[in-house]
Amino acid sequence: MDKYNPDLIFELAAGSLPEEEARAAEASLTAEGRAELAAQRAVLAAIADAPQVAMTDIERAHLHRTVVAGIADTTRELTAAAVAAPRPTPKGRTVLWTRFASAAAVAALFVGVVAVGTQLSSGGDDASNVSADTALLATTVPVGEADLTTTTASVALSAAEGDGVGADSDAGAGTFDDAVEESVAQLATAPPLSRAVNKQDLGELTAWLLEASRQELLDPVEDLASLPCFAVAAEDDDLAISYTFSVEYQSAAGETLAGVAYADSGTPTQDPLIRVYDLATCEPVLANTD
Amino acid sequence: MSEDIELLDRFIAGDQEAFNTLMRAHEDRVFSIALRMMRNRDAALDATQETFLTLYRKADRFHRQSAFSTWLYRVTINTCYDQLRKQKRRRADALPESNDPADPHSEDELTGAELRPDLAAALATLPEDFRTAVVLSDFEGHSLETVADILEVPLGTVKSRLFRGRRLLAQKLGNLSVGSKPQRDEHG
Repeated sequence: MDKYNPDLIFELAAGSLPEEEARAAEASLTAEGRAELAAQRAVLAAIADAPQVAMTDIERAHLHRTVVAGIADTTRELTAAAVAAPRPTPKGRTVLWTRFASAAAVAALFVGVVAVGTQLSSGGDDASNVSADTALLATTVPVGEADLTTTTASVALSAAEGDGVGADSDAGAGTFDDAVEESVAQLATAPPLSRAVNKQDLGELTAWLLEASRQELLDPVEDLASLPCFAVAAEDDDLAISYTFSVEYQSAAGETLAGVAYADSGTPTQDPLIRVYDLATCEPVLANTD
Repeated sequence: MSEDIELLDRFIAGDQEAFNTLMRAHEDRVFSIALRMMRNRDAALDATQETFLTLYRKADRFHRQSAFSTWLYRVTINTCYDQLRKQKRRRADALPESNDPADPHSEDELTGAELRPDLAAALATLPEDFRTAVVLSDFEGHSLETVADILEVPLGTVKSRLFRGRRLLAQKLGNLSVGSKPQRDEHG
């Protein structure tokens, strides 16, 4: 014979029975049943007293930045897949191509280019605090055949710089150079580094990035993949690119050189990773980790 | 709910701002579930991020047979399961041969969940299925029917998991002697 009925205990603990019925049911419980009911109620009371969980402003800003970075990764993966896709000429590969094209068409709905600048205001109570730190930007770039040509050109340009990303392209070099100039011109510019780059510059650069991010000074970038040295930076598995900016630096000989920097969003406890590449060669010239 | 669907439709049609709005609307709830499940704020943030990336990549897989939030919270729970399993694998790989049972991070993780430490510790010991039911129902306040939808299990199973999960919590918290046992495993 049951010492108590779990269903009844459950309903009593939940308070879902009519008052009269509950009173009668509770009075009929065995000692074990009463102990079980008291235990269930105690747990529910303890849980009810538990504080509400809330993201801090820093955590919210971090979440938004990392989602932006993740969307950028998605974009990059889809772009790379599109560039690598075989042409559907051989009969035997038609099915494979069709399958890929279908996937790409679906994926196109979700391909976004990430940039920083569209403010993501919070729906929470602390909206004003959160929104100041947070930017989630995404503009849709449909991947139709025409757009694929553009994307391919961007990647091919990077390949021409020796970044190891191979791709066939019909795009002319002039178009590519124009695109680079245009894309670099979009970037925020960090204060010039005052001497030949060394580790001591990192503190200044990191502080600038954090402040620029906080004040939303980093302008939206409409096509990350078109940026110079992007493919090199993208190969760094430790770097989930969230920000990019330009920075001038000086060579050991005192010559002023242009660099492009990629950085991630850091974590609530860690400064962002920053990588600076020479704009002309894409050689890494500064990194805050080895 | 209909607002969620409208936003989702706009997002699938290419409106990225609709995605941002959806995320803003649900990020606190997703984070809260993830924190109760993962017991660590960094891990909860990771799970929240992964949940919204899954939404971004797979929004077309929502078949509208339930509320959008139900689907999103299911994605959250599944993401947490995946990450908890990865954590276990990593810990197992990192375990020295001395079989030291102490996890040097466990205390930080538990206190990081913003619960009474004893309640957090007790919650952490629950089997995943029980913990999930307790988190969704008792901590997050979802109805039994919604929890059943999120977990894709019958209502009776939800009740059973809740009953047994609370029971284990009570034992851990010292509110019930360990010797006493429920009379049935499953509710009707």
